[in-house]
Formats: sequence, structure tokens, C-alpha cells
Amino acid sequence: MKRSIWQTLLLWVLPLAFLLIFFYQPLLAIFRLVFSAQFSQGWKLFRWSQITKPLAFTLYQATLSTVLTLVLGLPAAYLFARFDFAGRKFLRVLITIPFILPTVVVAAAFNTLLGPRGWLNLGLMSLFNLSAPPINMLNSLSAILLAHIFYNTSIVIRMVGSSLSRLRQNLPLAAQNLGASPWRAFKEVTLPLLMPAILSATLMVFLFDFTSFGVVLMLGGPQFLTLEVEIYNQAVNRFNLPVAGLLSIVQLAFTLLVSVLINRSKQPRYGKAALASESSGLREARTRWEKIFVIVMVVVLLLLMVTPTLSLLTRSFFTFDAARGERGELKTGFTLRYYRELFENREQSLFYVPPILAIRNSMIYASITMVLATVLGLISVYAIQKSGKLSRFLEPLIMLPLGASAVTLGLGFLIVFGGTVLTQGRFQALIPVAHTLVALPMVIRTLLPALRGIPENLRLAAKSMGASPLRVFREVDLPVLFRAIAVSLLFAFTISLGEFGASSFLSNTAMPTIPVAIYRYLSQPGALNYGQALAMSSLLMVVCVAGSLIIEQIHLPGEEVF
Amino acid sequence: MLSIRDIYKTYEGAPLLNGLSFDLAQGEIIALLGTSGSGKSTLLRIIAGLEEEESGTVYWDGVDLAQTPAHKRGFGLMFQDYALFPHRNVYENIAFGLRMQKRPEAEIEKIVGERLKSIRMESFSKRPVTELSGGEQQRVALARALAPDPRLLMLDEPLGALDRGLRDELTKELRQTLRDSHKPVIYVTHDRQEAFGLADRLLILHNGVIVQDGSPQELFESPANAWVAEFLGLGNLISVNDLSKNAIQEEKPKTNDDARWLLRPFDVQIGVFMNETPFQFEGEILDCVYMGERYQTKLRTAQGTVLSIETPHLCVMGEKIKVYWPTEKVQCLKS
Repeated sequence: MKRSIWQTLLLWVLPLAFLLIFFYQPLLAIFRLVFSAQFSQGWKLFRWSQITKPLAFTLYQATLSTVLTLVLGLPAAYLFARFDFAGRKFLRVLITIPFILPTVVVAAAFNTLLGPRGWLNLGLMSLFNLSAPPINMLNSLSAILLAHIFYNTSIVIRMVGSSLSRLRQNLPLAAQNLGASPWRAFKEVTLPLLMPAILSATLMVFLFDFTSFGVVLMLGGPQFLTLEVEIYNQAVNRFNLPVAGLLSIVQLAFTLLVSVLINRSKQPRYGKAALASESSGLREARTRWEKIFVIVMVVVLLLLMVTPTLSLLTRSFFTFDAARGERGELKTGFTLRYYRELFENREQSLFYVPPILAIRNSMIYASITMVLATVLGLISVYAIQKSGKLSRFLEPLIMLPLGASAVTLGLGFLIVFGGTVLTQGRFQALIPVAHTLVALPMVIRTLLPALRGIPENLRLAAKSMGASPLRVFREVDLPVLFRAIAVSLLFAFTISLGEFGASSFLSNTAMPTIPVAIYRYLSQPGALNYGQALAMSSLLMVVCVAGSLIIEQIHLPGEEVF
Repeated sequence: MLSIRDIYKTYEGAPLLNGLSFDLAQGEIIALLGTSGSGKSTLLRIIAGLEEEESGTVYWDGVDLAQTPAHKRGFGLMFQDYALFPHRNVYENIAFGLRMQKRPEAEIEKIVGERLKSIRMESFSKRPVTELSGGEQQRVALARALAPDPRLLMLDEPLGALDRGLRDELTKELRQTLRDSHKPVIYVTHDRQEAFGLADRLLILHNGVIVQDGSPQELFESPANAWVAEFLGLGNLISVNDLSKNAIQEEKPKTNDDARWLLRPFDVQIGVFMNETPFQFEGEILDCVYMGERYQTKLRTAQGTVLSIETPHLCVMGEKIKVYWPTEKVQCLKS
């Protein structure tokens, strides 16, 4: 017995050491910096408005975004849970795509739709023969809100929709039978039973909106400062680390609070009694109002959730230089030029960095992340499973990084390792480490249910036939875990490819990742940059969509990874 | 009171209820019997207004209910899965219908108190319904259906989810509760014992229509057709091919080939061979089980038919015996 306890503790060493060095140490450093600054200079170092202003705006935009997301998401959840219509399944798949897209892709997509060189402006300009884009939707609160709706509606559809479709149909019918009008039955029975799902979806959406970084930075512009953007701003542009640190602490406190609330809201006291084992059947819209509802919802969903990605894809193949006011001939139409440019090193490019280099960097980082996160994840899940009650204390330690934003992570790295590694130009070596921290909770959530699903009897049977522990792992665990490991690798890979927050802190100018490069290309003028950004965004989107489709195909048993 | 006329309803393209009609009188308890999937539950939902018939009419006291929505019909329905509201406790579940009727709080409290007392669950008032046992849930569901004083009570397999022992116990209790309520009751089940034990009248639902409507005794004594006799488990149903050849030669039965004869196990005569009856068999004992007073015995005839018979004494397995049914005890049924 003693020996097995030591063996178990040995399993914890590697994951915990990794987290201590790369997560808890930076976190602690942020705290130390903030409080030492406070002791030496008092609160005078900060102006309260430096904290309260971004906090107030963050809360404001997150609340507004969440409310709007619910306004679209709740009827959409109802649409998918109740009605059958042509193209339903296809639309369902299209709608889950935004959620898995990296923030830079979303920013690029909205740019191609609403930006000065986007479809909307190009269309209006050619229609009315204008010389300048008539609409400026970018750098506005509405752009941020639209992108947040685009991003998070699928969370509401997924969480509320699955509850609604599995809600026992007899419950509202029983209410009607007892004298409640259909509306009253909805209010007294259906709605209260859906409330846990609505509440946790709301909190989840709020959390994503609250911590949103890339979207706000790229679509909002300099005047919209959320906590995340301001952390980045203070740390990178002003090098005011204490203020950035304090902002991080405020941010972390809110994130943890919301996470705790999410965990609570997920479990109603009556358990699963309101849900049937199978989802109820769909039906076609019958009355006139139902038909209008279905049509309106489909159109709205297509407009808000599908056009941005479609516009990105099409725009990346389309050249339209009229807007540039160039004297040469007007070129419009299909082109592969932007994609060809990805492989060319143009001396006169503003950035010296050809896109292919960013792609190479990202591939390297993603490959390292994939292996690192999966290996650490595997060790962690075995450690969690083997240690029984002890894991209740240790498991949260591993899952906590989920609560910290990538920007906070980047800031912590900057404080801890900035002095040493940065100067030697090896700072970007930390990028896969940061990506691993972001991916680890997802990897563990994928692997743990799969590992728990292996019956202990199988291992005992193998052991009784004389297999060594290593052999047991190879013959029993590995074949069962194989699919979960494949999903973990893919998860970690795509997360690393799309990660922007931490990378924006850590990558140096000469060695950007794909998202960082896209951000730079997008924020600079020039048709070619723009085209390159779109081509890269499209590629990134295709890779992420393919990855998630494969993950969906592998279809793991157990809880949904969210 | 309640009249059902020509109800027609399809399920996935095939007719489920095919022009079904029946009547229900005040204070009468009828049992609607049918196999699972025969449309019993659908019929209850149509009467309750929770599902729409494709054609046909539901009348109450001569009034067509087509324009009356479910919540205004005043028909109580107890669902097969009880459909207790999981987010409300026992008291709130029973009070729900009364609240919908906007009764004063004091009156609601009084009625719910009486209901809880009648099911002997006074102390359960604040309990979450999810913590109740199956039998307790069944009682609460019945109390909830009765509380708003419905003008008709419908029960959809109320004991279906319970195990055998509890079922027998609750059948008696349920019978008392239903009698005491003096309400017309439609009781849906696939269990004939339950139906015989509870109802004044039995309706057999088959192929979307009521194939027989009568008192338990009428059904028992003269089943409308072979399907009913088999469904009620009345005895052996045999065709011409099951008779021995020389029996046919001796006295050819005067019916068409589709007909079935019902040979009830307790009418069998053993040993003495009477030449007048064609229903005589020679066979081998397959099985013999003591059922109290008599033995339930299975016999395989020379034609290969297995017959159930009742014997006064234990038969040895493999033993060869001769049995016959007197012609006057045998019923000829349409198949």
C-alpha cells in the first residue's frame, strides 16, 4: 500500500512542478508586484479611475453582449429543439463554427463584412459610385457586440437547446391538464425547469464576453478599453506593470466568481428528474405564426452567424482595388494572388516577415503544445484517478488555469521571465508553454471521462494473466484511450494555432505566430497586407473547422467538453 | 356524459385510431384494455385536449369540445410517468390545479390537507417529489389529479411502473378511491387482472377500434372473437388443423377454416373417451404446475399442438393421457 501511495505522488510531481513554475509563480509575481508597489508608494501609484473605468466598461459591454446573445440564442434554441425544416442539420453545423474560431479570424471576418474594404462598403460604393466607404462599422461598440453575438450564440443554442429538447413533454401537458393555459404552463413549468440551463449558459456567455480580448482590441479600436485590453495596453505600450497587475487581479477575481456561479448553477436540486432519456421528436411548423418564426429565425441566423465567415472566405479570393484611388486600371474579380503571396518574401513588405514564416512558427509551437499538453494531461489524469480523495484537493490546482485569462498569463510571464529570457531573445520559447497552460484544462476534460470509463476489471484480468503494469497500460488502457488522446492532440493543436492573448505578449517582432501576424497585417494600411491577412485567416479558419469536425466525428463518450 | 364518436388518428402514416366510438355514463368506471402501442394513451390525450384528433368528435353532455382548449375541459389525467413537477414539493404539486382555479389560499390548504390525509401522506407535504418511492409518487399523482375536482378522471396505466406486489396492494386502494370519488373514470391498462379488478365495464381496443364493450362477465363468457379470447387469456384457441384426422372424419365441424374453437382449461375431461365430440386429443404431458387446488398442465397432442388443461392431480412428465371437451362447452369464434 505504502509503495502505491508514493507512486501516485510521483505522478503528481511533473504536472504540479510545471504549473508551479509556469502558472503559480507568474501569478504570485503579479500579486507581489502589485502589493510591493502599494507598500512602497501607497495607492497613489494608481488612480482609481484607471481601474474603475475599464472595469465599468467591461461590465457594461459584457452585460449588453450577453443580453443580446440571449435575445438571439433563446429563440434559436427553441427553433432547433422543436422544429424540423429543410437544411436544419446543415444550419446547425454552420452555427457551431463561430465558437471554435480564433479571435483574429473573427476580427478578420467582420472586417471583410463591415470594414472599409469589406463587402458591404464595396457594394455600396460600386452601387452609388462613391469614392470613399460610406459606412464605418469598425471601431465601434456595435462591431464588438456583433462579434460577441456571433461568437457565443452557439453556447446558448447548445446548452438551452439540449435541455429544452430533452425536457419531459408530459410536464407542461400535465400543467395544462390541471387548468393552466399554454402560456401559464410555460411560465410555471417549462421556464423554471429550463432556468438552470439558461442561467449557466448566461454566465458562460458573460464570462467569455467579460474576458474577450482579441475581438475588442481589433474591432473596438483604441477608445474601447476593457480590463483585458487595458492590461495589454498598460503592460506592452506603457510598461506600467503594477497597474497591469492590479487590473489582472481584479479580472481574475471576477472570473473566479463567475466560474463558481457556473458550477453551482449547473446542478438543480432535483437532479435530472426534468429530463427524459431521449430528446423529443421534431415537428414541422404548422400554424402561420410558426412558419413566420422559422423563416425569420433562419434568415437572422444566416445573416448574423454565417455571412461573416462566408464573407471572409470569398473576400480572400477577390481583388477590388477601386477603393484605393489608384490611377491604374481597375481590377476586380477572382484572384489567387493573396494565397500566392503567402509564400513570397517581399522585400518591400512593411514587416520584413513573410507570412510563411508565421505559419512555420505557429506549426512549431502548435506541435510542441500538442505533445506537451497531451503528455502532461495524461500524467495528470492518471494522478487524479489514482489518488482518490486526495484528488479533490489537487484537481482544482490543475484546473485553475482555465480561470486565468491568456493576457494575465502573458503578463505574469513578462514579469517573471522578462528580465532574463527576453533579453536573450528566447522569450518566444515560452509561447508553447503558455499555450499548454491554456490547452491543459481542455485536454484533462477530454481524457478524464475516457480514463474513468475503463472498467478496473479489465486491468485486473490482464494482471491476473501475468501482464506487467506497463503491459497493462499498453494492452488495456492505450487502445481504449486512443480516441481520447487523438482528440486531445487535435484540441491542443487548434487551441495553440488560434491563441492570441498570450502570444501577443510573448512573440517578438521577427517571429510572430499566425494570429499575431494577422493582427499586424490587419491593423496596417495596404491592400496586400489586407489580402495576406485574409488568406491567412481563411486558412486558419479551415484548419480549425476541419479539426473540430474531426473531433466531432471521433465522438467521445462522456461529458461534453466545453 | 362523455361520448366519443368516430375518432380517427394516424401515427407515422398508419391509422392508429380508426373511427373509434364509445360512451361513458355518470359514475361509471370503464377500463380501456389494449396491447402496448394500440393507441390507448393517444386516445386519453385526445379526450383531454392535449392532442388533436384528425377527425371525429368528443362530446360532453352533448356539447362538442373541439373549441374547448385542454385547460378549460376540467378532465383530470394521471400520466403514465406521473409527470410530477420536479421543481415543486408534494404540497405544491397537489395544489397546482387549485391555484389555476384561483381558489383562496385557505381553501387550497384545506383541500390539499384532505387529499394528503386520504393517501396517508400528511407528513410528506414539504418533501421534494424526487425523493418519493414509486408507490408514493403514484399516490401523489392521483391526489393531484383529483384535487381540482375534475368532472372526468382518466388514468394512464397508473400501476404500470410498479412491481407486482405493490401493484396488487395498490389495485385495492385505487378501487376504493375511485368508487369514493363518484366520478366517471377511464382506466387504461394492458393488464387484464387490473382491469377485471377495477372496472364496471371493459372496452377492448384493437386495430384502432373498440372490438368489444361489456361487463367483465360478458367478456369472460362470450368473447367477441378469437383475438379477444387470446388477449384475455381465456384458453386454448385451435383451428381445424389441430384436430385429429379421424375426429374430423367422424364429425366434420360445420364452420369455415378461419374459425377458432375456444377450449377452456377447466372444462377439460380426462380419460373417458366420448365418441360424439371431435375435440378429443391424445397426448404427452409436457409440464405440470401446482396452482392451488388444481394443477396447470401442458399437453402436447399427436398433431403437435400444445394445450393448457387443468387437472385435479399431479401428472407425470412424459405420461400419455387422453382428454376431451364436451361439444356444448366449446365456443366457436371468428378469428
